[in-house]
Amino acid sequence: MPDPSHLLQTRDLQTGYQTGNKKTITTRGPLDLDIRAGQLICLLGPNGAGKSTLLKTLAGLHPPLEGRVEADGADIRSVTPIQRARIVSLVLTDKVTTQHLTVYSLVALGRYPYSGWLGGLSEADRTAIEWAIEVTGIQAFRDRKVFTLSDGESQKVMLARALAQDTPILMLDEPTAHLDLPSRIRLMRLLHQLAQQTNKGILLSTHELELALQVADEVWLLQNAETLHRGAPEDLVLNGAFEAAFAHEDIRFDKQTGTFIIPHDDSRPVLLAGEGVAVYWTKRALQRSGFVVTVDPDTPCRIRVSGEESSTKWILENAGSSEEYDSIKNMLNALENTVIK
Amino acid sequence: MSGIYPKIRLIGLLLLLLLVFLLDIAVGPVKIPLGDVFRILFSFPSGDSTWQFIVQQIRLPKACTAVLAGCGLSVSGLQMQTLFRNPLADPSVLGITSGSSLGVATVMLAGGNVATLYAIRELGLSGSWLITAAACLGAGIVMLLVLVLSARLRDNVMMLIIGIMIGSVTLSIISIWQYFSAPELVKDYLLWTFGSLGGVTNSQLPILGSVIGAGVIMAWLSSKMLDALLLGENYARSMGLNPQRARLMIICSSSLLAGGITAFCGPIGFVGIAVPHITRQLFRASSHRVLVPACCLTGTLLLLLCDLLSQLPASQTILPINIITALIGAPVVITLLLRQKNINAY
Amino acid sequence: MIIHRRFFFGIVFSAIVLVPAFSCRDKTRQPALEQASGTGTSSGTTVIRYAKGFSIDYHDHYKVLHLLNRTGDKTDTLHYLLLPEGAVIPSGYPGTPVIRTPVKSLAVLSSSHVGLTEFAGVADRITGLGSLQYINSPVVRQRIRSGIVKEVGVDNSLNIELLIAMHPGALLTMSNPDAATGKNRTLADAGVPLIPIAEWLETTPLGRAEWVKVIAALVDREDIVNPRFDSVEKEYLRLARIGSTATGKPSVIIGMPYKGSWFMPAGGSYMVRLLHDAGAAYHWEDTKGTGSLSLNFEAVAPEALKAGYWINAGSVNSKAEISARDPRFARFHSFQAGTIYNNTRRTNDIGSNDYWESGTINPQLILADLIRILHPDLLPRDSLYYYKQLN
Repeated sequence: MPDPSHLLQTRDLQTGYQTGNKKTITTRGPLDLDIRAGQLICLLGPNGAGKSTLLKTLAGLHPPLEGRVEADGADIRSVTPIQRARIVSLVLTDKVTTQHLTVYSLVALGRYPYSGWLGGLSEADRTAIEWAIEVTGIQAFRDRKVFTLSDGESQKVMLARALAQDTPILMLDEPTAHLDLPSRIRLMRLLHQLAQQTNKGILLSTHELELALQVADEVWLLQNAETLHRGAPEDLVLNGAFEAAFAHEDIRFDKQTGTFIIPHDDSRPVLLAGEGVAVYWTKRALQRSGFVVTVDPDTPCRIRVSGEESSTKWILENAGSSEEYDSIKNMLNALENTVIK
Repeated sequence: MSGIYPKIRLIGLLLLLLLVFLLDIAVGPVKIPLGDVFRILFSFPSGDSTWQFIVQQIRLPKACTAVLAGCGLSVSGLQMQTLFRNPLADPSVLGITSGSSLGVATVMLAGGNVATLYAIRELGLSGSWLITAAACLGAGIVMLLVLVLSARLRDNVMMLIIGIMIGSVTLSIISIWQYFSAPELVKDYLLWTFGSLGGVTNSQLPILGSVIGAGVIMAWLSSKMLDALLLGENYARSMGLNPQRARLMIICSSSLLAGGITAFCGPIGFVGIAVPHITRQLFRASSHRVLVPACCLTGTLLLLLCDLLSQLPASQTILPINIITALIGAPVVITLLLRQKNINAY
Repeated sequence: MIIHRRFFFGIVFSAIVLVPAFSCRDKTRQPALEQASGTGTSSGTTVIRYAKGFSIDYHDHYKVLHLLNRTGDKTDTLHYLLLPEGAVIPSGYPGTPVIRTPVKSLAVLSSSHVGLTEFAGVADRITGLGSLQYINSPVVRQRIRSGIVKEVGVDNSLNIELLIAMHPGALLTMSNPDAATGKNRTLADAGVPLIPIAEWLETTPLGRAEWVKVIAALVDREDIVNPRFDSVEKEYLRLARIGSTATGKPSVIIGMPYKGSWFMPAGGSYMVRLLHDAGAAYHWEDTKGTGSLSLNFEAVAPEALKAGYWINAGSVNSKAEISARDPRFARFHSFQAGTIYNNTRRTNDIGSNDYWESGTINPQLILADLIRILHPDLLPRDSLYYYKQLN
């Protein structure tokens, strides 16, 4: 019995592709996933793990190897393309190279499932287009040609097009791939807002771990073809799923900080004392440089952080001597010199 | 979309079209006074029956052929450029015109005709209907082949490559025949490859007209599908396009247009590749609802102009149409491309 | 493919005196009405009056044949020494190829050359033909049936190995491109002399026919060929006098257009010469050139609509076929009056048209036909030889 609050559901899904007799399985499953209204789901995983294939299979662009994908109780591979287009809209990584397309015309293409037989637009269509333009904030360049846009701007335009398609589900494949950091953050924020305000179910695939941790309501962590972890991002951090997924010889996911750490072979212990923001960043700097922060009071090497803001001082005590530094950089230099000695 | 400038441009172009059409009928190797031309056109009796014959039986069908060929070739080229998202695509890219050439070469070269050197020079070729039918058959066979392949292929790029390969194979076969043929037969085949607008008579025009009309209407009805294809096949599918149906319509329509024109006029190049670019720049439109009729307009203008120019240099002879279309088309496209800011996009 | 006719040459020619027969024709006869197109080289026994493409020097024991060889727009002269078997090669001709006369076997690539050899009575010496598909001469057809004549191919499919194996006394071609180099050199080196018979370049009917004298020189039959040619010439001139003085010259159009282009013979071509001698009015007779004019259908239309006669209207056999080609032709006066004539009367059972074979050597018959067609009052129309009326 399909759950009415589930916009999309999978049953016993297995994705992959088949060329001739060769079958490549990208997710063995069997997967039972679902997308709910008002949710932002991030599909995470290392490159090449099969995120794109899974996304395209969920969108109905690609046939599953086993199982089915359902929306509203019906298999999305068995409905007509137009019906499917009214359920799921996509933002892909494909480049659009048509020159004479204006931004407005491109967004208007999103109304394809609804427009007239020659592509004529009704009042309802125009309203939807205007809303999409407004929500993505692209009014300023609605009449510009598509090829004049920057990467960030054109990504917004493609999002607007998908929004104009007015579907309950929106899927994005690596939407932050070519964007700079501010644009990435803005886009994720926008998606988060959209999910809440429009009650759409939004699924996006990315390997931006940190951003996903910030905005996702749910994370699907594709570790490899056999394993897919599902849950709130914080749960997946705490239960070690992230660690396991990104476990690698030269990299480690640190639960405490929620960041990646490059471990060093010989880590020298340092005792760190102090409070505030500076302590946190000092700890990061020490870890980056190959030190391990302990709480063992017998550690010979000690650092104390005191002060605030611009008057912060770092006091390094080692083998009896004590020096004060006014920046982490200077303190680290001294620290490394003492160790060498 | 709104604004007075597009309307002025449209009216201007339509008037220009009318002017060039009339000019094409008024100018020719035989000097006929303008007044008589008009009188004959509007079915008033004119003094000279020779002039009447020339205007009604020679010039009028030729101008009408130019109109039909201009529409058909440019719309076919437009569809090919959109389907393959390739600015260099033209009607021949699927190998349809090569199929026509093969049909014609079969009749002209491999068929083996009359006797010696001067015999062929004096006589003509075997029946023009035979040539037309052979060209249609050749185009039809290639079209079927392409349709069958397109149902099995998921990728448009593969179809493009296959079309080009078909073109190469047919060219090789034709080259073999040319190698073993008499120089005169080779020259006659060469003449066919130059294209000609003057070979269609009033009785054949309705057939050509219906073929082109059907093709253009099919293309116009596919406007929505073509628009979706502008974003690529993945996006198009996600918007609700049925790629199989789209490809079927587009291939059928484009083959009908390209094959029909090649069968009656021989291969005419350049119009199919240049006119869509010119039209897009001129009308600044991307919607095929507008582009299809706009291409008809621009294509007709261009071909009528080329036909006019092909008569001017020598008064008794005319230059083959293919030469003129290339000489005019190429500089136009080069200028347009140089003025574009983004060379990669089309 | 060009269908070349070949004559098979088999009889050994032994009794003829090798030194060319002295039937003196020194006097350069000026025919009454026409300007002689030949330069009248009167060295030796054979006078060439009309042909411009060859000349023959007769010496005591040998002949020197000079042929104009045209390839594209390059013209050079080829020389051949014609020597009887066993004769010593005279000095003064270094590098000139030698052909032993009388030539006993011939390979022929062109239909008209078959005609030339038949005129000289040596069609039975043909051993190779370019293509066996089109041939009219009964002698040659018989030899094909008995397997004596082989097919040696044309142009690019010329079977060089077969030719070398057959070793004919001479290979008659239409031209010899790159005589010094090129693959034809292989043949020459193997002892198969290649002789370009370029009768098709002549612009007068008699000039074309006169090339039989080259064959005569090759097979030592001047005494037979020269008188024969003289009677042909006489008859032709007689008819030309009748034709060119006829009152009322009907207008004529020639050929069939293709897709808006009509190739009409230019004023200097041999076809126009025939028409002039037959008493026709030809709209383009003042044009320069010896080939064809490439005209727009429209430029021809005013003339075509009014022309009294339509000659050589393409490979058609009836008026129905003509109007099927293009319904506009039905408006021509010649169509409506039924005055369309094609030279296909003498087409045999295998579809071969004798016009292309014997027409070269029977200019007087062609001229007679034309006069009959154009001026039925001067000559009765019922006995056309090559031409037939299309209905």
